[in-house]
This record gives sequence, structure tokens and C-alpha cells, in this order.
Amino acid sequence: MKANTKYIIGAVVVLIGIAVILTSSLQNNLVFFITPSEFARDQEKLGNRTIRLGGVVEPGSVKFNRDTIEVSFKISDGTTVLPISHKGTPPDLFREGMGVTVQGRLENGVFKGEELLVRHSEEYKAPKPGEKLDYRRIVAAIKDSQ
Amino acid sequence: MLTQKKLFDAPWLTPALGLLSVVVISVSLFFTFTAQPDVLQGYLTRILPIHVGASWLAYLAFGLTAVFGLTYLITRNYHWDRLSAASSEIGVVFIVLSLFSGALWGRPAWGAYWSWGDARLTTTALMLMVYVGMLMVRGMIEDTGRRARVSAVIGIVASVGVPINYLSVYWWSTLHQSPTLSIVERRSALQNSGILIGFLVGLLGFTILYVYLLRLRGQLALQQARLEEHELELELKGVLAHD
Repeated sequence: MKANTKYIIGAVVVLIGIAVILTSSLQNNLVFFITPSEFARDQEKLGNRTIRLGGVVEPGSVKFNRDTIEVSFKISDGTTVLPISHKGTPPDLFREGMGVTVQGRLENGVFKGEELLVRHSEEYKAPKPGEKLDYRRIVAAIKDSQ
Repeated sequence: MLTQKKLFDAPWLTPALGLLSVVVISVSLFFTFTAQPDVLQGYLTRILPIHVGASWLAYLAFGLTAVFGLTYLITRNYHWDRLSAASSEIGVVFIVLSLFSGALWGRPAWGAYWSWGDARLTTTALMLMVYVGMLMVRGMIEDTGRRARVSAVIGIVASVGVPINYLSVYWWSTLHQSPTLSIVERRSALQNSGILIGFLVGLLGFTILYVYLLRLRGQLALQQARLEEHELELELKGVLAHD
């Protein structure tokens, strides 16, 4: 067997190996966030470990406390709704109906967020003719919902 | 009449491609920066054609690194090794640009420049490491034949990162959104004509830029190889010893 052929066979074997590892075992470890439903289901197992939750900000649930710089809201995945309390200013795109991820842990029944990130979709839209960017509504959703 | 071979070897072709890529990317930027601001992200979406263009170019470069490497292993012609090395260098430059533009977009949109744990981001960083490693290995091996063989194998194996990186947003729950345009799924979520034109023209421009850089780097590598060969010949003749 020529050395050349050996290299090619070796390369193919390694390729298949990496592909198998990535599609099978890493599937559970590379998950960026879990949903409120999964959180509720595995709550006993998770305890108060630090995890990252992902869901949609429930409309009408955002409250911002200007004195303590705390934002409280509910996130939902359609079936389970979970209250969140986060200290710090939320990102600019944070608003009701937006996808967010919160890293934190459960403390006395409230999920305390340490890192709040906005997860936007792959959709990009220009305003329709005559429609203007409703900055007031966007700002209001974050600021004046006490 | 200009035959295909003559056209391919024409000395004016490489600078012409470079100039063309500048023109096409400028057109892309014109459409991008005159587009209407996004309903949600406002002006942020204007980075999309650059970010996706750079990422596409990195995918293309790393994919072709493997193809050229494989072609070298089959033909044993150093021409393909030089192209494979050139392609991986271009890929490294543009994967860095992709990470950088992504961070600039991520900070205002997501709220973070970077997040470990996101599969798209992490596999991109991993790919950068692997290809930088490949270039280091190339630098460490002096024997031309061995260098070409080893880097061809690394290039082929590492290219598995391209589909994994692309599909990571489908396979795992990620912070990064899934592709806006998908030919396979026949889906476009880009409802902004200015950005869409800028994006499509940009893809063309970045592809031309790749071909230009590949030719340029390939020609330089050929000159380097000739110089090394010449020096070796002189050494063998003992000319250098008399100096």
C-alpha cells in the first residue's frame, strides 16, 4: 500500500469519527439554553444550579425599577410561564414579545438573572410605505412599565 | 483570438479581478447604506452584507483548501499545494473578519460581543484555531513534499468544520439566528429590498475578491518556490560556498 493511500484512508476515518462524535454525544452539551417547560420538568434535578433559560418576553409583564436598576418580567415558551428578575440594564433590543436568554439560578422561587441577552430572529423587514419606526413604543416597552 | 488558456494566464486578469471586486463590493455597500432601516434593529442590519459576505468567503476558502489539497494528493503537482495554502490563508483572514463584524453586531443586538456556549460562535473560534494550527504546521516542515502531504491531510480533515459550523444553528439551540436566505429550504426572511440587493451583490463581490486573492497569493507562492529552487541549485553547484 502506498503511503499516499494510507493518508487518504486515515483522513476519511478521522472525518467520520468527528462527524459521529458531534452528531451524537455533543447534542446535549452544546445547547445554549433550555425552555421554561424543560426547566419546570427537570427542576428537582437542576436545583439551584446556574443555567441559561430561553423564551419570549410575555407582553405586559415587564416592570423596570429605576431605583434598584432591576428589571422583572415573565418569559414563556407557549406552555410554561416563568417569572424572572434581572439586575442591570437590558440590551437595546429587549422588549415585549422578543426572544431572550437569561443566565442565572433559582433563588427563593424567583429566577435571578445574571446575564440577559436578546435573541433576535433571522427576519429583517423594512417599514411598509407610510409606516415609521415606532421608537416611542419600543422605548415605552422598556422604560415606562412600572 | 483569445483562447481559454491564454485568458487564464493573462497578466492583466489578476489586477482586473481585484478592481472588479472593489467595484462590485462598492455597489453592494451603496445599496446597503441607502436601504431603509430595519423595523426592529434600525441601522444595525447594515452590517449584514459584510458579515455574511466575510463568513461566506471563509467557508468557500476552507472548502476549496480541502479540494485543492485532495487534488494535490492525487496529482502530486505542487501547483495545487500552493493554491491550498493560499486558500487557507485567505480563509483565516476572513473568518477573523467574520468574528469581528459579528461581535460588532452582537453587542448592540444581543447585548454581548461574545458568548461561549453558542455553538455557532464556538465552532467558528475552533475553526480559526485549527486553520491557524495548519499554517503553523506548514511553517514548521521544511521538506516541500512532506509539507504538502501533511497540510493536504489537515486541510481535508479540517473542512468538516464548514458544514458543522453552517448547520450548528439548526442542530443546537443557539443565540445566533438561523440563515436569513436558504436555497435548500426555498426561504427568504429578508423583507428589505435595499439590504437584499446589497447582500446578493456583496456575495458576488466577495467571491470575486476570493478569486483575486487566490491568484495573487498563488503567483507569489510560485515565485517563492522558484526562488527556493534556484537557491538550492546554486548551493549544490557550490557557487554559494565560494562567496
